[in-house]
Amino acid sequence: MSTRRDFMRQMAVVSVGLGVPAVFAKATAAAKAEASAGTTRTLIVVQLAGGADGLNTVLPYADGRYRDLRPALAIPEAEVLRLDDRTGLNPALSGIKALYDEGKVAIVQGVGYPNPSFSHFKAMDIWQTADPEGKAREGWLGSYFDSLTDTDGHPLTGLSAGRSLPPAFRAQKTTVPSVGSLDTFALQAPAAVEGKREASLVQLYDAYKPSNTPYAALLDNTVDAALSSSQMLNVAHAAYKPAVIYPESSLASGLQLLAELIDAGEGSEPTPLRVGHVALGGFDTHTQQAAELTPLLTGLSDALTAFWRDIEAHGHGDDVAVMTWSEFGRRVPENGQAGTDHGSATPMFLLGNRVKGGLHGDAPSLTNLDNGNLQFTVDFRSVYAGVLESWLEASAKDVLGHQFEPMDLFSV
Amino acid sequence: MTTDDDRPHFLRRAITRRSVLGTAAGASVLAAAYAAFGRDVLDGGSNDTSGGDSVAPTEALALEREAVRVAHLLRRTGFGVTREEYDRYVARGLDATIDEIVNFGAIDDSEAEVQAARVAPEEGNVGSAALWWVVRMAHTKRPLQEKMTLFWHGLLTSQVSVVRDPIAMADQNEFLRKNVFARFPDILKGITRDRAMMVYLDMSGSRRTAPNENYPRELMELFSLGEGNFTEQDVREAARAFTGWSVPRQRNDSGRPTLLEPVFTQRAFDDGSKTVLGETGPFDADDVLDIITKQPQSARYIVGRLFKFFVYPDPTDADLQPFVDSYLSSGMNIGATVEAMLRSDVFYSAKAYRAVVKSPLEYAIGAVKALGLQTGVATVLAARGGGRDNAPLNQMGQVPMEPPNVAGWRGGAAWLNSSTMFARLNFLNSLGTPAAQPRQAAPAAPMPKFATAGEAFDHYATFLLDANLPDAARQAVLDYAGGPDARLTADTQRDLVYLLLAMPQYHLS
Repeated sequence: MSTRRDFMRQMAVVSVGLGVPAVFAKATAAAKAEASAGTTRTLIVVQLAGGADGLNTVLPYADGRYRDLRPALAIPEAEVLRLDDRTGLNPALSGIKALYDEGKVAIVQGVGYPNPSFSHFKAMDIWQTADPEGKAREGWLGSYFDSLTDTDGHPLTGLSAGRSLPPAFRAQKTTVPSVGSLDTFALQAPAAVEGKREASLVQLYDAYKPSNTPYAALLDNTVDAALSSSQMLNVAHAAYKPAVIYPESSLASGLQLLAELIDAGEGSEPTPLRVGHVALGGFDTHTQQAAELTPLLTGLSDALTAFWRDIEAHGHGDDVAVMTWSEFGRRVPENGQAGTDHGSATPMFLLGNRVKGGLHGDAPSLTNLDNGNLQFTVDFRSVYAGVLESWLEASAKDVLGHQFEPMDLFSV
Repeated sequence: MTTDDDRPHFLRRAITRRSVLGTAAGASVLAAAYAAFGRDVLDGGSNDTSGGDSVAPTEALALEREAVRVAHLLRRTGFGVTREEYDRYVARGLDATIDEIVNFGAIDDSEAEVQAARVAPEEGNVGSAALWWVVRMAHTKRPLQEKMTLFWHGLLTSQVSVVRDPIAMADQNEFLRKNVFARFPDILKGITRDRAMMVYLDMSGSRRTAPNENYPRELMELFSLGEGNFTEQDVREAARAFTGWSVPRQRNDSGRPTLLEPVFTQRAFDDGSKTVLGETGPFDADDVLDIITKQPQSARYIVGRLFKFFVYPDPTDADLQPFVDSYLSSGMNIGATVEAMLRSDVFYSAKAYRAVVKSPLEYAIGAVKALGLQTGVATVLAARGGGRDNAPLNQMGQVPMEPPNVAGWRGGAAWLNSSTMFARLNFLNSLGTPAAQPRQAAPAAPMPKFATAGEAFDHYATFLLDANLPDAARQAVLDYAGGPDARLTADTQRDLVYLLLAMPQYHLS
């Protein structure tokens, strides 16, 4: 457990504002030692949980079938934010549209996989493990973390901005912290006994090592990751000045936390953060979809726009990319309660200054439906492969376990 | 790293399961932790939690003591005990304890009802139902009934944030409480008629002309059969049988809706012939529920869920079979099934010992009871500024009446991450502050006073941790206090109790 004890000693001497804090020095030194390409890039994954209705997000506004199948829900043509003469965006996405016009948004249409699942939980697992057979245990990003040759000294290679760890981050070797909110992400104790208590806790978790309980190692690693990442995050937060006013939403707060960590590496030192994750829920719009989807998309657009402007202002626009995903889209014909049932193919958004802006893939056909569901035109693992190979400079084949044709989504 | 060949034979399997990598996060122990998600292990091949263990599980040796078996039973069937409760049950012995716990109907629980009535759910106050229930959990003398209510709530889920009527949620909760040990088909039929459930999963308003799939899908996938045991066509056909219901709403004084009793409209019901799970007929909702519960997979599903909740998270089919038999031979009776589990050898086996991660409710209420703070439970669990987000149970990941989604709470390793770890430890810290002391009229039992650190340690470690801790742990706590014979100040006693509740073992049930 020497790693943690080193950190404990370093934490005692951290001084904010005097060059690179000691806790980062170890992380960055280790980062330099990595044999894998010393990428300075960060991927931010935004999960739209519940099955976001792609057809009303990126919509074929001129297609008569669209309006025939969704008499109540189809977005009026006059309100659509047009991307070209066939495809447009939901009017709630004005911020994203502005970024699209700057060439910073790639929209991959019709993303899915064969024999799609209509279960939230199975579909989420499939997207998070990149395995439609449901056999993989690690998350695809967890596999990525494990493939980095040196994760020792990297308590913040990944961060989940939220109170739970996304299965995409499940890994054999790496423990990724989840941070619900920073002001409670620290060990609280009466001032007089703080250090003493923390030291005793570390000893107690260290001492628990029965060979047959699955939880001993998990408990130990969790406390490890919590204590070391808490220090790093609080230092990063104290040093950061946002260049924008973020909207008041948990999505925006999560993105801000990630922005702070992205900025935490000093000067030419690489950021400790490789992949951040944040989720926005509520997309399971079985009834009264318009009233539910509009504020969700507005919130998404506003939060991403604020985040992006902040990232650019801090000079990281070339080194950060955002990717959205949802476990499925929704049924093409609307149901009898002004909503939609579970569906299949769905669009993904990528955002970044180095993203190849524009529409990618083919819009799924509205005439060739499968029992009311869209047929996919792009396998989601091709999108992952493109992100892994071009953006994260990792071997997609190693991480995903198979070869997938990587989508060309970045100018790097 | 030593290889298998270097080790004595009896230690080899331990090394295989604990191959140390990188940051010492042993792959297979993490794999076993993920097995708690209901998955196979990461390292393929050997399921390391099936079959026997050639290494003596030293921690579980404690089960040889009857008091430890009693404590294990109490943990699994409740939300923690006070020292007095522990002493009473241990004195009665295991068999008498099982009898009392299982026959909760014979026990007067009016005190819990009186305490809970002080924080009764209020119209328009969405969080009030949760608080009412937590107070009940902290005071109940029928812990198994409350634990089973929580089990059902986590399986047949609804969320107050969607339903928006806390009285309706409280009524749903009462239905579950009264029927915890009923027949499974009857529980499903009852919850299908519940107005909060009808709103939560969009049965309300589902009509013949456009049936809504949400309820039949989640019913089959999550409530009764499990993924892969029904088809999309079954969902669409079953949806037709659940049509015709609606839940009228009335705006109450708070401006929020009051849900009224569900109304069935024959005209809106699809009375045509449907084919569900291979059977054809003009089925209604109850008919479909009968068809579902007749499936062999339904028995495995519900018995599996009960086993994972009460015994350990990764049962084999062989583990479940005796309880599937009890379930079926008792006419699908949940009470008979659970009682069979609590009286079984496997329940008291090494594999079951500390095999479950305590849910936030068990953790928090257990800590509250350990310190005799039950009468102040509403205060200590309230948010401290910053709104509901900062409430301890929210940060730990479990607010009753508000599961994160229709699948309920995943449990197991999912309870433990950096955020929830801070939430748990910081909650313990808050219990040591003056703000935590109850201000209710009835005084709580005073905190016991101990002459020395050693005495205090032994007192708490006995009823909280089975007196089953590594020597190094006892050493660390006593060192903190200044040694086993050190005299205790109030602050040091507070810290000592904190460290015991903060122990890694205390997270486990």
